[in-house]
Amino acid sequence: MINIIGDNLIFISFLFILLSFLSYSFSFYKKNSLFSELGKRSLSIVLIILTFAIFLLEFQLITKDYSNLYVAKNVSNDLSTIFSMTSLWAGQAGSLMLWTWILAIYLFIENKKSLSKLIPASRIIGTFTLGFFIYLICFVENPFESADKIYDNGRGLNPILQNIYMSIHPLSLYLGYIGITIPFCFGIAAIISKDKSNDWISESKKWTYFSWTFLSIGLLLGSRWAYLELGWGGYWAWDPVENVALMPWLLLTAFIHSSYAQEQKKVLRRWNLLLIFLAFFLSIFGTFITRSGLISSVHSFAQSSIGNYFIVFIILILLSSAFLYYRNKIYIESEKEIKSLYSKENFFVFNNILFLVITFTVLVGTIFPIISEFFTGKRILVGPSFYDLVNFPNVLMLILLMTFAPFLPWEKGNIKPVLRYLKIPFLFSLALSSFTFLKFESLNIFIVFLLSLTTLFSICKEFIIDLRINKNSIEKKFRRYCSFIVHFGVIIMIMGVSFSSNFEKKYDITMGEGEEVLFGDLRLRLDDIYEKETPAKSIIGANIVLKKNNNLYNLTPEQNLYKYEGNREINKETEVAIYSTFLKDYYLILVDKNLEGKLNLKLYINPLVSFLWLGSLISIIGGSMLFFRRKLND
Amino acid sequence: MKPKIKLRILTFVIIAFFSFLIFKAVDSSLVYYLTVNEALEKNRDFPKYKQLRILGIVKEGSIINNLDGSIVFEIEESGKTIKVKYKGIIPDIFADGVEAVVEGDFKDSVFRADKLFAKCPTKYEDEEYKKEQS
Repeated sequence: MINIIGDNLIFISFLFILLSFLSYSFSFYKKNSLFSELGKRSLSIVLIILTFAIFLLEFQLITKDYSNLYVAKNVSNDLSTIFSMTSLWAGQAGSLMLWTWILAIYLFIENKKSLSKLIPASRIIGTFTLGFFIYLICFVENPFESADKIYDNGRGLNPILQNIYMSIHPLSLYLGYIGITIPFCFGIAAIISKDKSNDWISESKKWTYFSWTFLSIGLLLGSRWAYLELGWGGYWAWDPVENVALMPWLLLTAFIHSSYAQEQKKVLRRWNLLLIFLAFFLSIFGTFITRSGLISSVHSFAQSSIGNYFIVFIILILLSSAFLYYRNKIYIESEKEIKSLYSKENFFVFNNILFLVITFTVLVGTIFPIISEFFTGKRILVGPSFYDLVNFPNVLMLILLMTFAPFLPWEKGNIKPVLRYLKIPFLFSLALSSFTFLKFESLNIFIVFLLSLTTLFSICKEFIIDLRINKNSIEKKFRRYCSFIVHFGVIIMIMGVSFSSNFEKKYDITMGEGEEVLFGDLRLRLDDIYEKETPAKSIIGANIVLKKNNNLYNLTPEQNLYKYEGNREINKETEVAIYSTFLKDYYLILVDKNLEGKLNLKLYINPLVSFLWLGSLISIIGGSMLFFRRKLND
Repeated sequence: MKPKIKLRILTFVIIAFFSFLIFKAVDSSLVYYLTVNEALEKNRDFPKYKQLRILGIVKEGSIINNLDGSIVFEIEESGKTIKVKYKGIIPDIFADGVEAVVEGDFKDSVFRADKLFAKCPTKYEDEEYKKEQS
């Protein structure tokens, strides 16, 4: 019964979004405000209907109404309420439903402000995109499809996905991905309205910050989940699925910088349009890649015909954006040109080039198997070393830019005052990083630390000066300080990543009860091995004591074997035991129990991983401050 | 020189540098991705690149756990098999009958893997499930 209601609701919302799209288009071409009002009303109705539908679906998930096929496939009797709720985005149809709903909310929020002359045109694009997604949930992947028979238990959620990080991570990525739609709509709107002002940037900047922040949160949670749950000692593997989430983030980061230059100095207008088109394209492309099964990944996703719809949508977007772009080329010319090499805006251009290079590298690495198969007939892929090799010098250059760019003036080209300003931070940094060089004897780390610390100290220096001379200026330079916070976090993150990847240690251990192993000043003692049975799973675990400098830590790595059937091709789950300190993570995995009753264990010692989490968190705080602020004038 | 030209030259240099780097990096990190049959046939064609990645299905009952934590198993495709030796972290999903990807090189007729990935059979919406249930 509920299925039929839900199904019909979606169909009605499809009719209304059609109406909305048509009335907006009509009102745009005929300059008729009556139709614009009609479009606005129908869009609100779409949101109300979709909200109702999504509550229905949640209701079915929580009450475990297995007459709905989606519920039967993603929930089971033993699943807790919270994970039943988050199962809304565990499968394809539900994810699309959520995607559609969020997009409708975003468009509705934009709908209320009607000051800018760009709004009508941007709504045409917005309702068109929303229409595409409603079409998908209405006719292709319907979340209210009835089950073909009566189930008494569903397939349930995979045990490794039953983790709080994993439940929020896709939601956060979606919030970010979908947010890119709004600046994209404004960009297209600027082209078709032949608007020569920079309104599209100022109208959409909050959405850009918002998307950037949520994409960052999503990426952070994803890697945190991989680190805690997957049990291979790392947080990033350059897997295609991770890559496609990273690419829009990279482009958005580039866009944030160059759009700031446009807002302030009216430069780079065309360039910004191209960037936001690319970012939007990549966000859809990402969904396409993961869903179409075109590229094999260790992550598995539902593969279905939905890829075909996305490819049509992508081609449509690419062609129409390109067409509009070239037809209206003269209208989107920048008002000003970049005058000097050592100006802030020019350094933003370098920043953009570097970010585009990273994005291109990641894209090449991701689709390399397809390219090579196309040209040579052999499927060849590139390993993680590919990314490391290209991105290392790139990131170094980016840090260099981060050191200089914030202190360069707009327009005028003089680097000498900046060099003078950076002298003291550089000397401090040189002293500290030489110290790390003596201790760790790694040139790579020395360079990374030298540049990173210079940036950190240069930021601190400005803060100290402002604090001493004029405290009010901190309030006035709100956006500048937000960017400093983000940079500060990014630098700390880079330090953590480079250090942990250079100095990770890995040990294979086989030990029985009561045995002890020594690694330098580290002592590992296995007290006992326990085996437990619960209704859901059988557990093998061990109580292990880690001793360092007279400190004792208890670690209990476990290996779970789930008993139930259904959606349980994966029935094993490794519970990693981690002892985190500020400087080092001790990461212990129970591999298995061998025939002699001894345990095979793996111990990773990862230094400075805490910097990665801390740095990301700082950046995210900096980013979110930008969209919580009511007015961004500086 | 005009700043615009300077900027163009610098941009060109940066892009040329990274193009070169990407080219080098591709060359040094190549991994051939083959199925079991392809690997058996073309084994000799790839002497230059030692790293191979082979996709196959883990043969039922072939997994043997050694005392040192290493495992030996066979991956198969349409009846042909390759014997694989692997030591390292075993993915949670790894079991009889799953699709596995191993990366490493051949030593005589045994494939020494240094990486092992297991692919989950598409969990959520697979056609098989629908067929099974109906």
